Amino acid sequence: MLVTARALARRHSLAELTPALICKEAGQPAEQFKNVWPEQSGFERELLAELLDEVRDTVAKTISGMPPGIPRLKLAIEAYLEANRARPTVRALALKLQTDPAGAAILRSRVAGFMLMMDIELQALNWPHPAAVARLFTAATLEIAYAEHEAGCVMPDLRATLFQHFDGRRP
Amino acid sequence: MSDAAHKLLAAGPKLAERYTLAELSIARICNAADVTAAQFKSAFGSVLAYVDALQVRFMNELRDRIVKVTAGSMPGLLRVKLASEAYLSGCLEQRVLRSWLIEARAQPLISAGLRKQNQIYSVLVSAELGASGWAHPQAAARLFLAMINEASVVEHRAGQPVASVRETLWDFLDHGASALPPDS
Repeated sequence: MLVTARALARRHSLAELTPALICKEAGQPAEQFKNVWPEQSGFERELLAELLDEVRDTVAKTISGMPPGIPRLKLAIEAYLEANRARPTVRALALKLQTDPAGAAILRSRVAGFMLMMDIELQALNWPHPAAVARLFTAATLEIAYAEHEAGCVMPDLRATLFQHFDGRRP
Repeated sequence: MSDAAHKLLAAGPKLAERYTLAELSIARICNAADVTAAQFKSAFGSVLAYVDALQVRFMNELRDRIVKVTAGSMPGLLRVKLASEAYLSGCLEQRVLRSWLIEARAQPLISAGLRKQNQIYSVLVSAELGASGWAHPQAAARLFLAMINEASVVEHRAGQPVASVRETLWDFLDHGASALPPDS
């Protein structure tokens, strides 16, 4: 059911992702969903974790084989934003679960992973204050992801402003 | 605002030193402010509404501090930096109360107030960056505010200004303006 829900998350909004639809698509009896996830929030947390891992894997796959550098960093950010856009449910779930302690913990751990990736990339480039830059620019990247989720489209000005910082700046 | 409401709000920082947000109750608030539960209910109605009022007061104080620090300065990046320094320093000065407010962001009422504040600051910062020649001032303001909010959380946890974080903020501002083509 979780695998089915992940696939459905690409084509359906969070509101459309009902237990009935998931069970039907997964070929499971309707009551099976409640057996696995007595609480809806339990399902939502698991789905959020799965989708965020998918986003992480997509970014890793996109930049694999590239040498460290600004082009790889920018591509990673772009891949992250596109992977979020391809899964509107991920930001909807993130917004919903940010007030849930277990959901917030999942979000924090995945954000920490993205931040670490950026930190390592910047360290390799001898960028000044890599940890601080990674932290603040991860916050900026998340802001773009939420803005694009709200708008339902790419926000080119936001992306251009973020990338411009990395384009012109050299350690 | 009634005298009781003033007393209740004034008790906020002291309460924040003693209790976590989860431990906060009408009885404890009333005890610290020396007012009755009926007066509390008349002024705020609920603990959440009380915390919201504390956030509004905190944000108003920050705004007044920013206005004071930037009074007389010319529009531009220096004024944005002065305002940002004032904001970050104000957050650190109210660190104990701010622990509550950060924790309370999980509540829609509190996060909505914060969003409204960010929208107002976004308009102001955008105007400053536009005057400094940024290509996309609204976008830059939105990103800068996300970064400064994150910076305030980093400094909150550190309990003091973090030089690398502030330098990163200034670098973002300096670079955005300096990266413009010379004929723009």
